[in-house]
Amino acid sequence: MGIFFLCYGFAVIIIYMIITLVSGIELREQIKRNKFVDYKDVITTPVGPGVSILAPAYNEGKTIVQNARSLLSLHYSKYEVIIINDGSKDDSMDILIKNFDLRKTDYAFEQEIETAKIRGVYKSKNPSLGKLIVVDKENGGKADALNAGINISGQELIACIDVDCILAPDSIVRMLRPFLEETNKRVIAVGGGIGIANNCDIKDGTVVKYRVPDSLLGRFQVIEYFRSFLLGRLAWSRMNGLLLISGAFGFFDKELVLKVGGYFPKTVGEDMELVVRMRRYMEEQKIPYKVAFVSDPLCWTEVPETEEVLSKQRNRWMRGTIETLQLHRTMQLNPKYRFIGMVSFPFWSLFEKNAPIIELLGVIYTLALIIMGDFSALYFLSLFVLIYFFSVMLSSFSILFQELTFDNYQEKGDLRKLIFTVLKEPFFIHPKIMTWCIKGHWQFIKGIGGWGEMVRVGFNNKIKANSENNGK
Amino acid sequence: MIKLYLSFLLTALLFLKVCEVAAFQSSDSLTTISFLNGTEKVESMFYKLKLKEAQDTSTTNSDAAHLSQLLNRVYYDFERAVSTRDSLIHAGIENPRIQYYIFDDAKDFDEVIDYIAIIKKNELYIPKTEKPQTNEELIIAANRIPFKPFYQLRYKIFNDIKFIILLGILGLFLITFLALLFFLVIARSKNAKRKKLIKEYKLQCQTPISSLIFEYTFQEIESMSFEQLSAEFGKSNFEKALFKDTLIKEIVNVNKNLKGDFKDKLRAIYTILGLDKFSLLKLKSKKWDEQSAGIVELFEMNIGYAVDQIEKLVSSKNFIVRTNAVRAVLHLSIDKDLKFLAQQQYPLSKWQQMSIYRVLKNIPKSEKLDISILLDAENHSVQTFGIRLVRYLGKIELIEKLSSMYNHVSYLGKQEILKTFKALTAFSELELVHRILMETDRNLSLLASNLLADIGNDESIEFLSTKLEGSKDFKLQKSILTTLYTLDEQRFEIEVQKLNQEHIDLIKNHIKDSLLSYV
Repeated sequence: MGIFFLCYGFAVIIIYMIITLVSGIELREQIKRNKFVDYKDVITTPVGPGVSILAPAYNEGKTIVQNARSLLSLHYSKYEVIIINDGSKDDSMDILIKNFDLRKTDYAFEQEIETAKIRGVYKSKNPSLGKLIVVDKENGGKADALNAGINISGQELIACIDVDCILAPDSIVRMLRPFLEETNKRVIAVGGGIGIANNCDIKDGTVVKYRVPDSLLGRFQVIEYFRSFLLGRLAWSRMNGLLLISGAFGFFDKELVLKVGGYFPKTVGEDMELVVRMRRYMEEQKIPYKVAFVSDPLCWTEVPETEEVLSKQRNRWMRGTIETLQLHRTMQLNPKYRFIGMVSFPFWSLFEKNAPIIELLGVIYTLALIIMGDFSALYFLSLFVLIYFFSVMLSSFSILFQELTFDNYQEKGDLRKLIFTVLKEPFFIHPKIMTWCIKGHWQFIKGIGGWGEMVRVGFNNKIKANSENNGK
Repeated sequence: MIKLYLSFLLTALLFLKVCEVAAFQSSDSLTTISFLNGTEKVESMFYKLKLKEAQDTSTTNSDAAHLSQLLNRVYYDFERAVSTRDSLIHAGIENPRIQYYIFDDAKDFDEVIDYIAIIKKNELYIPKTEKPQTNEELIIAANRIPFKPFYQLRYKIFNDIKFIILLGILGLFLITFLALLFFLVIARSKNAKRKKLIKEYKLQCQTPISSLIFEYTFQEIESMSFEQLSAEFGKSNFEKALFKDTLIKEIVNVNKNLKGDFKDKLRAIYTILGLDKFSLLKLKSKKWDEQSAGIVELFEMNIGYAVDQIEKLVSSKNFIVRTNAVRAVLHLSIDKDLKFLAQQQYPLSKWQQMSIYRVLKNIPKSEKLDISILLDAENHSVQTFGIRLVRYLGKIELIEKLSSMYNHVSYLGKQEILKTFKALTAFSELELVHRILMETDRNLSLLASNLLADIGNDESIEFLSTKLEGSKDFKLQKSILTTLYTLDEQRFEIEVQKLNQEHIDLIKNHIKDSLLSYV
């Protein structure tokens, strides 16, 4: 039993070291390549594909107008914005109608994917808002809302985002790059880097001043996002083994999404499930393909800073992961699915899905050893220090990558705050995250579903708060 | 006689007795020792060890104490006393001997022999049943070695390979973490320093550039020497690569935003300062990013004589170098010959097409640009790009060629040809478009139907009507009805009525909704 934990621990260390190395190489290349790109060329190019931005909204009345305006001001010539009001209980729809001068139209579309009933499709009477389409539908969940948007979209690519996200003005053109660059493989999806907007200054739908959040939970998520986007996803995309594109910001080949049946509304991990299903389809059809990742932080989102909301989010993420891996378990260690089946899938099963369980078993095993008197304090302490330093090192690498590339957090003391967070995280945050994930496992076993409620402060309030603080 | 006989007898008896005693005494010392060895305890008898002479036998206090303890000890087992005596001899203590005690009095060995004889008769002893083990010798030997604990932490660590590996990795991590932390701080300060330096250099460059291009004529600048010009920027700065890089970037940036005479002035500054050589050197670098940087700089500064060197890089393995080299060659070459592009072996990505198109669209119409060479390319991606260029650059004269090659191009090429016909309103290709509309391929029919909205005639309406009747595809129906609505509103109404389907009514409402005219 002890050997199993030791091997598992060392496997984690080796795999994450490989991931760090690969992501370092990829990041360096991406940064170098970016030097020779004038994204202004892409804005008006006739060569580029059309993009439909799909933004499902549920009770987002506080921020929906500002976010819609931000989406309408992106720098690209061929795109449309489809906001899907997923049966909000607040006044989101009224606010949209009023602010964008909307009228219900006779929009005819083919229901290629089954969704909840569409109440109406709205367009603005203002010709300058011609890019905007608002879909009002009965509540069916995020995946269902996205499917409704896919049915209505009229462009080659679909960009699925969270409506509360703030996109960088050049986000579309940057995300299009992998689609435009690839020649030998079909690019089926592209994921984008996500930054944390808490405590940042936002002006006209753009982040103008970056600051690390005030709370430890907020700062921890900054580090976590660095790790996830600058280390994990970058490395997996280079190895063409990326299984997850964040639901907050991802571009997909619409034709393929329709072929595989769109989002699966019965899972809470619809973003991962769609990518896995698309990859599975391409592997089965034996078509060369690629899932790419753009590391630039192009999408800024507000993260939960209270334990209550964060626990619900982590619980949901874990359930989503379990559901996806269960749904496509036939891919597990199946050589037919090549790298995905033999490497990505087992990695997710072993080190993402089952990690909290194995950690829990590790704790139980340690307690059992103590009770039986077979406990070596020296070994325990050494292993504990080893894992602690490994965790600290990994996080430090992600901060380093951020420093060497985007260098967004330039305020005095930001680096110090982040380093302290890295040192504290294994003691104060990690155990909580693991507990929430185990709860996710438990709820999956019990068959409990649903999203839980995400409480948003609203960026306007944040700006106000920040400007007040600045004023002081 | 009897007296004599009796005295003789008594004498003989006495003699025998004496001989017996003597014999007993000489042979009985061994018997006695042997007896004592086999006896665990003899009644009222014990032994002690004595040293024959006073001597300093120990070097340490602990040795002396231990010896004293041994000398004071009372032994009831003779064999044990002998063994201890022998150990003392081995330990280097001279002349230890055994002292016998009977009823607490010290006795000689002869007295012991007598006493033992009596003991034997009366059986006042306990015979030895088991020979006890002794480790006195070992203890005495060990006693002379200073004490050191055998099981130390160090021993435990260095004799456990797993632990050594663990500690090794731990140490490695610790060192890596500290190195990382150090590197993090260094990188941050280096970045900040570099940014600060670039900012300073930019300031140092901007003023002289502005004064040179606004206060001097082109001829005046052209007549300046390197010394004169470099003095404006600070001569010593030209030894620093970062300064030269910053200066080039500044010149290129200004060059992008200015036109005419100013461009010539900037170009003159660039060449007189030898920055062109700095850029040309980059082309020879083994690093792709430096090569690309060099190409971009020469491209932006319009350095025509660099074409030959740049052309060597059009087939570079690196995508970025290849893309920039193709752009630069097209931009800088005088004849604008696309032959090298038509001969490209690598598939042309959309990204490359985009950047090449950007160069081509800026070529003045007065200059001859033969796109048709791309239409004949064997490389499908180059051919498709050629078709697109016909559309983007509005090359109406190539419509006929496109029409003639329609059956021989790739599926993507076919789609691009139809899109090009639409963009160029190719009325002449109506017959081909009708044929495509009636084919079974859904995507091509869809494009043909869209195209007919722009070039269709009465005959097209009939084709559209026929196609509509046979089609169950929502998108195709929507497209055909939209085209019919554009070509003949009345016929559109008739066709809608004829189909009499719920979704056709929805399409009809959609087409008629003014807000959805472009959706």
